[in-house]
Amino acid sequence: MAYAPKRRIHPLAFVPLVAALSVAAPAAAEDRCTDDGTVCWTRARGAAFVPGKRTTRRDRRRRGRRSPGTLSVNIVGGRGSVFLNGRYVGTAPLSAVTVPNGRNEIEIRDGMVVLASGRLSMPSGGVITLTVRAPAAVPTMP
Amino acid sequence: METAPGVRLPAIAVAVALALPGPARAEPTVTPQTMAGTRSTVQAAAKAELDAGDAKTAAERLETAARQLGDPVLFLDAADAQYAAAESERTTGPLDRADELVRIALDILYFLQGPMASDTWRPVDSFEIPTLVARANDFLQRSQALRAEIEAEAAAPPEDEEPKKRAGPKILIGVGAGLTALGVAGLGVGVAGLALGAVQQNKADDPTVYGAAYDEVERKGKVGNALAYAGLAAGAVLGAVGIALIVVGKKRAGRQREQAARLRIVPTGTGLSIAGRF
Repeated sequence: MAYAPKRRIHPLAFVPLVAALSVAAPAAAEDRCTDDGTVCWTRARGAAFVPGKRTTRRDRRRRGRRSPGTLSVNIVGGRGSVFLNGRYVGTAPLSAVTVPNGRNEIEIRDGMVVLASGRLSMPSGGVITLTVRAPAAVPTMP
Repeated sequence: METAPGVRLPAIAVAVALALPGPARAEPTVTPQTMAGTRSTVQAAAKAELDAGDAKTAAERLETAARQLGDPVLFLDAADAQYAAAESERTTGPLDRADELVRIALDILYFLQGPMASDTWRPVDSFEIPTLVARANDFLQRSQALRAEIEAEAAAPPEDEEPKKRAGPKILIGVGAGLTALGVAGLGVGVAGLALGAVQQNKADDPTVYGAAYDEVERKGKVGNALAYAGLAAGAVLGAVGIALIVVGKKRAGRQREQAARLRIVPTGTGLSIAGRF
């Protein structure tokens, strides 16, 4: 059997590895879209958008107990106003709108046409950006 | 004084509960009545500015309040103020803004009729919504009409600007006639030159003419030739230009006669007729 000397790794070689592991990784942004591609969202720190979902009375009661998150809305190929929890918050493009933590209801509409609606789950400090494509808007108003 | 242990624990619990941050304060409930109160203050201030002829400032005040409150009525009022600004300035910029404000008002009005509307945010009464929607749609139509009017004004040349001066048909015909006359004269000179040349050629062919007499004939012949060439060339050019000017002048005169409205009594005597191209 051939002689194979044992290689020892110098302890200082671990320093960069330990340093890299100890640095907190930035919150990774995640991109998702609805099946028809009309609404896409980029979320970070646990924020989530569930298209078509409504909130319950319990959700409304539990909303806003901790620090809020932020919402941005962009509309591609059109315009629209944003309504959060039954109130007008502005007309797109919107950025850094304060959203209470918990489950919220959002609707984006251009006149009679609802461009997007759903439930916005916002953890403390959550960040979400919705991008709506106007041409494929779904008319739902009577 | 010593506190009983049975009292101390609940007291600690209350103290801890008070020390903890409470839930975020709920947003205030908005009713048509509360909104009407806030709205009237803004409207009064804007009215004073509108009466003073400052439609732009009034529009900005109304729009700022409308965006803060989300009030469709103030959005419509802001659009009306922008319309007034467009009317006085005769520009379409304020109309673009006004149209967007009206669209926001429509967004809110349709939202208030939808399932996601909240009971705690009712800026207008439900029975007011159809009237406000009609007001918004009527505004969009009026805005479109004013836009077309302003754009037509911008496209048309200003009335005080003098129309591009074009030579009148009479001037063209006069100048043409003059040039034609000069051309005829030139041709006449040319023919005279030819005649002179021909006469001098005959003399030169005479064998009895020689010496100084022949030189004189030759000189006159050359003069005749020069007159013939210059006269014919100048006459042809002047005549052609003159005739062209006369033709153009005649055509313009004919067009003006066609465009002029003619008022005459109908031969049957039953009334007046007006004829022409408009």
